[in-house]
Formats: sequence, structure tokens, C-alpha cells
Amino acid sequence: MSSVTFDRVRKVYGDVVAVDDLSLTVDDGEFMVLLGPSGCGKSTALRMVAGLEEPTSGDIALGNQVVNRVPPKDRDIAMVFQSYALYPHMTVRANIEFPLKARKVERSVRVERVEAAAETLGLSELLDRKPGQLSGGQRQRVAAARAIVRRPQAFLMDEPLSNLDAKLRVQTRIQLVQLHQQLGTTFLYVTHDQVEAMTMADRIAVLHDGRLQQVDRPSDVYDRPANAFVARFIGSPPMNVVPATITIDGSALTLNIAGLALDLSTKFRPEDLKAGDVLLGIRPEDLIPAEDGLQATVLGVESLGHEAHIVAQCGGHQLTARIANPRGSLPHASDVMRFAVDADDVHLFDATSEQRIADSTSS
Amino acid sequence: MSLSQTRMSLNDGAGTYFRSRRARVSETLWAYAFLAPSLVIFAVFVFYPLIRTAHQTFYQPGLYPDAPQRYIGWEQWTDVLGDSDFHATILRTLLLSLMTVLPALVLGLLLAWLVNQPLRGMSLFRIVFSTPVATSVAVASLVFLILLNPQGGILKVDWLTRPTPALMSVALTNVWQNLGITFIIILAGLQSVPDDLIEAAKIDGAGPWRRLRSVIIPTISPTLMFAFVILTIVSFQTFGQIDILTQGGPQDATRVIVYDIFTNRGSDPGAAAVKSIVLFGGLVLLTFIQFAALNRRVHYGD
Ligand SMILES: Nc1ncnc2c1ncn2[C@@H]1O[C@H](COP(=O)(O)OP(=O)(O)OP(=O)(O)O)[C@@H](O)[C@H]1O
Ligand SMILES: [Mg+2]
Repeated sequence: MSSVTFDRVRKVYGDVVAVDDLSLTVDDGEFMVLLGPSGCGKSTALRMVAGLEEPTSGDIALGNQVVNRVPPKDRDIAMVFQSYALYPHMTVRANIEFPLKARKVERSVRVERVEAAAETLGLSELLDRKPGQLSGGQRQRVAAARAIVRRPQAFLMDEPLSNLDAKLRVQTRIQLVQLHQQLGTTFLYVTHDQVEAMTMADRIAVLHDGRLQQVDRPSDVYDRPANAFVARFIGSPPMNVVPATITIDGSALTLNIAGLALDLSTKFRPEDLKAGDVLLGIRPEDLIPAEDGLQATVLGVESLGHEAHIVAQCGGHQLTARIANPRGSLPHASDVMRFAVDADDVHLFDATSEQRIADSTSS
Repeated sequence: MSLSQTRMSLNDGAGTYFRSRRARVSETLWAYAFLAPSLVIFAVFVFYPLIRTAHQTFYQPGLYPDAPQRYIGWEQWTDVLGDSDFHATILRTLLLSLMTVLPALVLGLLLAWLVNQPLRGMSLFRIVFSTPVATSVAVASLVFLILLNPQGGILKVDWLTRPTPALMSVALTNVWQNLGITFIIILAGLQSVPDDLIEAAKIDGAGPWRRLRSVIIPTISPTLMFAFVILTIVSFQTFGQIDILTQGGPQDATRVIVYDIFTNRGSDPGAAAVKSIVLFGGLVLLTFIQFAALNRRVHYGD
């Protein structure tokens, strides 16, 4: 087992910068998720660890060893592909055995390890089938078995669940987390699905346009997004981020938005703020329908049963509110309603850099 | 019924199930209408000559010019099939085929594999290796005639006048002539192998040789089978090279079936006809055997 380190890694294709100045350490035994929208460079980062791409500059290290020029077969890592990339002409057994054969592991050891891996992933009954005769979920498990059979230093996974249906995805998520706990090996897992990231990761690394935005535990990424991009990316529905202004009068800190003046002195310190434009971030669940507060005109309501989303127009900006367990009547389009906002739930981002503004709760 | 409807129903078997009987009849008529041109060509240029040839196997020319043909029946077949010269010709043909197909297949695979590596400048090699496709038999043969000429030739070797080297020279010309098309067919196969599969094999620890053997070749086996069948058929039909390089000599060393038929055509048309039918039957049989044998081992995707 070993850690995986990116040290100022950059990867350029022609004039596309796929990964830009990435520095990140995945600790030994950690489950790290690389999260970001399509095209942000997640796969490229992963493929550099696998040795399928060479960094344009910077270093990739496994443990203490820089592996930039080490070919994939000598890196002692395993990878699960989105397509699973099972060898179609081989049986499940032969697929799982292939990495051992390629490494000239003795036959008796191979048989034993294949059985053990198949057992772990519940494939014992399917060993003599070909991949073409398996369901999507079974194929996914064969791909995982092929990865674990070698007991590598680290597992790389590129969107391994994206070809599964929603229900199977939930099950497999849980199985993968169990597998991680069982093996205790370093996992580097790529996805664009924030639910996967939130539910599986020890830590999440959020990427955008090839740049690292934030690395934190899932709850911190959710509670303290490092910038407006992360704020808008995480959460379902994501955080509302709208322009507002701050006025400072002595020790009185006031946030002004659409006619509402909110006292921020409970959460923010005067030395962290300056008067003028700012970006206000507020989670949909923190907008609470009330008699008093932010006034908005309802544009539409989506009810999901266990919750409802109210999309409303407020001072030229669109806000989404989330109502848990909606009982009784929901508002209708063009209704005018008010939302209470608690200063403790307010996130502030610098209007130009979009970076998070520190508050008195942050360490 | 419109063209697009016809196409749709040809593609979609389930869709036609509920169609009326009349619609189905008219569809069949349309299908024949579209097939008609190729059926006519097939009938005139393949089927009719085949029947004529089969008919010819039972006749001998008259004893004097302008005399009517004589019917001799199966005697002609037993004569030809019992002829030890013909047995030697068949063996020679098989040998030439072997010496053509295997090297062409191995070389074609190797070249295509090398050229398919993601390296700079490979597109140039792709074009170069494909050029024999655009070369006629005559040109290919002339190239080797010049190469192999013992006096003014480039290799200055005396291969064409000695039996075994002569057959090998014909095979060599054959390989060269067919390498381009083999290369193109196999390259197309290689390019259809998913990148993921190769990358997975790399990460699983397989070196280039194991990747080729355990992943690439099994994946493109349908393509290889196709190339194999084509090459076998082409090699059985070798004619131009022999006519230009050796005329069947020396000492009949390059007298393969087609050339045998060619030299028989005037003097013994009945025998030539029997040999033609034997060649035809042999090729059909061989093709079936190859498909049947390889079918079981070939992987056709999932
Ligand atoms: N081989 C390549 N040649 C040129 N550009 C590439 C290549 N591979 C990736 N890119 C570019 O690099 C950027 C990052 O690609 P990458 O595949 O890493 O994105 P991703 O985050 O994995 O996206 P997705 O979620 O869609 O898989 C994209 O702009 C992509 O177009
Ligand atoms: Mg990707």
C-alpha cells in the first residue's frame, strides 16, 4: 500500500491545458474522490497515475518513488475502467487471472487468489461465463475482482458506476466502500457525481478547468465550500449564489440584499469583511418560508414527495428553496412569498476572486 | 411502397410480423427487383460458364478439326483424377498456397501492428505498406523478374531456373502482391480494438508481446479469419506471376492447377474442365472448412 502524490503536475494537449498545476496527496489507505464537471481533467489526472499519460511537467509519486517514467506494468496499481474493459474472449476466471499470469505468478497461487477475489465479489458461480453473458453489475464486479486479485498499492477507478442503473449504483457504492474497508488500500476514484463523492469519499478533491478547487472531507466541502464554484457544484439543488452588498458601521456588519438587511455580526468578524460588493451563498434548505424576510415571486414548484423545491425570483436573481417533508399546500407560480435567512447559514465569497470569506466558525 | 419503408422492414424483422400478407408479398417482389441486376450478372458470368464447364467434363474434342465433340462420360473424370501428374499439381498448389498465406498473414499482422503504434510519422508507413494494393499482377511480377534476373538483376540470383527456388519466388511475388490488402484488412481490424482493452492489459502487467498474443489477436480473430480465407482463395488462383516469371517451369516446378488448366485448354479441354471443377469444388470446400473450424474459436464480440 502506498500514498499517491501529485506535485505541481501539469498536462497539456496541444493548446488544451487538461490538468493545471495540480498538487495533491492521497494518503496511504485513503479513499479519495476526484470530483468535477465533464472535461475538468479528472480522467487525465487518473491516467497519469496509471502511467497511460505522461505529465507535461511536475511529478507523480507512488509512496516515495517518483514514477513519471515508469511504465504502467511496473507501477503496481490497478484500474477499473468506465467501460470495465473486460477481455471479451476470456472467461470470468481468465479475466481475473490475467494480471497474475502477466506477472508470472505461480499456478497454484493464481488459482487460490482468483477464487478468493471471486469470493469477495460474489462471483464464484460465474467463473466460467464470458463477459458477454453477464449483466452490467456483474461485469462491474468482474472488473473490480480483476483489480483486487493482484493486491496492488493503489486502486484507480474512472467513473466505474456510470453504466449501472440508479438502484444498482446505490448497492455498488456500498459494496465499494466495504471493499475499501476490507482491503485498506488507497483508492483514487473519479466521478462527476457529487452523490458518489459525498457518500464514499474520505476526502473529496474538487477540480474545475484542470485546477484543484478544494480538498476536504465531504462534510467540509458541503459546509465550507472554498469558493463560489464549489458552492454551486455541490448540493442538490446546489447553493444559491447571488450578488449582495455589505455595509460596515463601527462593529455593525450588515448584508443588504433585495431590500433585506441582515445583521452578520454573529458569524463574521469586521476584520475579515470590507464594505461593498460580495457574493452571498445560501443553501436551499436554509431558505425557510416565513412571515418576514426575503421577498420573492414564485416561478415554479417541483415536488419530489419527500421534499419540494421552490424556484423563485428575488431582486433580479433566481433562488431555490428546499422544503423537507412538505405537508399541506405548496405555493403556486406567481405567488409572492417570504423566506427567513439566518445569519449563521450565510456563506460569503469575494465578489471578484469568488474565494470564500473567512468567518468566526472557521479554524 | 416507398424505398425507406422497404429498408425499414428489411432491418426490423419484428416489425414485419404484424404486416398484412399482401404487404409481405409486395415486399418480396421489391427485394427481387433490387437483387435482379446482380442476379443477371451472376447468371451470365458465373452460373452459365459453370454449367458449361461441368457439361464439358463429359466430352472430348472430335478426332479431326470441325468434327463434333465425342461423349465419353465419367471416363474423363477417372482419367484425370487418377493422373499422378495431376496429383503432383494439386500438392504443388497446396504448397504454394501455404507459402503464400502464412507469410502474408504474419507479415501483414506484424506491419499493421507496428504501424498502429501511436508514434509520429506512422501515417507515412501506412501509405507505403498499402501501395502493393494498387499494383497489378503484371507490374508486381515484372518487379520480381527484374529483381531476380541472374544477369542484369538487382539480386543477381538464379532462382527462376531451379525448381524449388522458382516456386518460392512465385510465392514471394504472391506475398508481396497480397501484403498490401492483408495489411489494410488487418489494420482496420486493429483500429477497431477498443483502446481501453489495450490500456487495461498494460496496467494488468502485459508487455507488448503478451498484449498482441492474448488480447489483440483474439479480439481481431474475425478479421484474421477473413484475411486468411481471402488469401487462400487468391493463392489458389495464382496465374499471372507464373505466366510472367516461369511459365510453369522449370520442370513443371511451378505448374499449379490454374496454370495446368491454362495449358490444357486447347489440347485437352475436357481435362481442363474437370480440373476447373475440382478447383472450384476444392475452394468451396476449403472455405466451408475454414469458416467451420475458425468459427468455434473466433470471438465475435458480445
Ligand atoms: N488525448 C487527448 N487529446 C487532446 N485533448 C484531450 C485528450 N484527452 C483529454 N483531452 C482534453 O483534456 C480535457 C480534460 O479531459 P478529461 O478526459 O481528463 O476530462 P474528464 O474530467 O475526465 O471529463 P469526463 O467527465 O467527461 O470524463 C478536456 O478538455 C479534453 O478535451
Ligand atoms: Mg473522464
